[in-house]
Amino acid sequence: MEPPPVRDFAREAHELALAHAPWLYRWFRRRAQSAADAEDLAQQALVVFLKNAPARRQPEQAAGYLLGIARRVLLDSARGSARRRARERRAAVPESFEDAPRDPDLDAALSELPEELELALTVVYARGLSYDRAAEVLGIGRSLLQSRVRSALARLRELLGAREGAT
Amino acid sequence: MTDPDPLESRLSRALSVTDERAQRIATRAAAAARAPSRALATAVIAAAGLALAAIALWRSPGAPAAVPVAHVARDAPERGAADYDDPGNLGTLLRCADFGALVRVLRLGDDAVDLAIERAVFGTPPAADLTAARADGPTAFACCRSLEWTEGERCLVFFARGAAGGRLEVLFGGSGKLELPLSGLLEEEDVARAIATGDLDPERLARWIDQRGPQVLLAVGWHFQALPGLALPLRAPAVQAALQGFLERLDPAQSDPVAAMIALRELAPERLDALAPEVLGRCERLYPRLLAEVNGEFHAVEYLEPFARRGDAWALPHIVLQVEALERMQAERPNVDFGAERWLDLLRLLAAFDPEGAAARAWNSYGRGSGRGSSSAADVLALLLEIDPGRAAAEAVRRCSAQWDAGERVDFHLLLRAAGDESLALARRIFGDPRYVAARRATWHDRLAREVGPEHEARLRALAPEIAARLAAAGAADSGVGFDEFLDGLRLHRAAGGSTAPARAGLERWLAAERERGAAIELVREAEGLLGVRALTVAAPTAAELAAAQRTLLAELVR
Repeated sequence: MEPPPVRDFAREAHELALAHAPWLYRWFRRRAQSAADAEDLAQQALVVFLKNAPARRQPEQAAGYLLGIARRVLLDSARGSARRRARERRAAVPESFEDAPRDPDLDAALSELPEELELALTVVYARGLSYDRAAEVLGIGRSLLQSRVRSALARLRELLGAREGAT
Repeated sequence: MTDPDPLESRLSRALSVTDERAQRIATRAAAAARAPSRALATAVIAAAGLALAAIALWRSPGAPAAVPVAHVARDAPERGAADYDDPGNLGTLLRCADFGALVRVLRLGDDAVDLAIERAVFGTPPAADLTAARADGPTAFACCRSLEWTEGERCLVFFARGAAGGRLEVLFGGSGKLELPLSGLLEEEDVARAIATGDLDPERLARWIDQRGPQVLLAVGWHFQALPGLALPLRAPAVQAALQGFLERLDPAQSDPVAAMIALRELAPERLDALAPEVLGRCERLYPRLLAEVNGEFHAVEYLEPFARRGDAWALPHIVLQVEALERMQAERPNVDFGAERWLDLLRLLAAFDPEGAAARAWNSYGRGSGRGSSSAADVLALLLEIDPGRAAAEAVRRCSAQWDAGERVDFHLLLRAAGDESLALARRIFGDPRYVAARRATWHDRLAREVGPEHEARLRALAPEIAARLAAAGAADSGVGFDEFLDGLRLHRAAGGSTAPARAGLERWLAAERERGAAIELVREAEGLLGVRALTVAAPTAAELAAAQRTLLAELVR
């Protein structure tokens, strides 16, 4: 009798979390007050995702499902207790914890993109992924991803042009 | 070569995430979500389209058929497993194990057994100790010879490191090996969920109750004992509906009265109140059959309690009958443990109908000085504080004052339960005295710390400064106060709304100290509550996760 292959769920969960952590962090970073907050929120969303992603979901819905969780986590965090907020304000965030200098115009422009376009760019650029790999992470086809990235870049140029032309 | 698009360069700069950050988020999330179900993992792994499905872990690239095998020597010491912890208690196993896995028995020999490790369900698989094929040399795994195996058998096995970090031995000789489904009910996915989230799918539990009756709660509940954080979802609507459904189908002539007792015990009061009178009548008619069971009287309190709470008159004569039977036994055989706790519980039920009569019986016992059977005078007085609070409060002050003056252990929980200024003043005097910790004649190991509830909050807050001072003293390295006592003091301090500062020294000392795993989890939970920080996100942490949580809390303390 041939035993089935061994699964190590801790390892699998880590790999899966690693695939989604970068874009999820970036998604939260544009919405949270600090890098530390964004990390915490990304972690929370991933925990919910890993624990509760139901088997009935279609594979291609995984990124969308995680995005839905992320929205709820963000909403919950906005309702967080005053005590927690006060504690976090007191907490000194080391300089090294923060990212490179923010690009407010770009952040604002990204926030104006339709969500699927914002997501496509974030997944590709957060880790410099190939289109093939980014399409896998998003659970969509390569051509659809390419089309979204093209559209996103074009829209972004317009938005940035308008924004930077106005200043 | 074309120049890079400025916008794309700008996006790369603004959106890039460092390896360190990605790893940090992923590692924490995976640890917190540990052991997601196989169905989940299948779905999400497919969803991500990652190359994870063909996990290379444990497989050599050139040998796709190889599986990790634990070569388990059958020469570990016998640990008397036959009469201990059988069937295995999941909580105990998680508390003690270093590694748990779903295995299949590949080969059974006289001196060793080869186990294919199909799935790690708890802890980190010790990769270095596994081989891709059967090993005949020295092995890192062991079990006792009396542990029985069958070739082809599939089971859960929990290992713990032997003395001095040596071999991984199957826990408790025999019962670290569990047959699935546990108790004929819990399957692989249930175990994975219990380990990951500390609970069970309420829908499945409800279905078992429907199919096999509320007795399944006893069997399943066994596996959830012994580890803080593991809890059956008894209050989930599906489970409550199943219990209610059982009672609504009750047949006084045919139904199992113990099963009815379990359903009554676990059913929420509002659901009991919503039962039709006809259903409640059937519960009443079933009760005599409970007493006819072997040791049925031991279940009487739990069966009658919901009806006493409702004030249903039919319960009163049955309560009196039980009280008098116990008192008769005590009179006839005064030196025999007569079931003092049951007697106190019955008096509590009696008080719902006849508080004066119940109090008179209790005072009569208390007045005898030594209590009855195994019940202490303090236990009786604690009951009297509930049913005759005025007189009992005065007696609590007298009793505790005498204990303090005589240098005896003080029944401090009575003082906190007793209403009135006098008891508060005495509590303040005792707690405010440095000798309370220094002399340790009244320890922190007080039952109140374990029973403290909202009803004590006002009294504890009034004593907060004194409690904080004593906690600070107890936390000093030279205080002589042990871990359990410090933990109890910390609970009191928290219940009194105490701040971090008085607890800091003791917390730092005990968080950094190595100690028994269950106790360490308890301390981390208390410290989390005090500091307002969530450091431990899994019900059954591994040693590494527990250590990480301790480090997090220590960092929080020194911040």
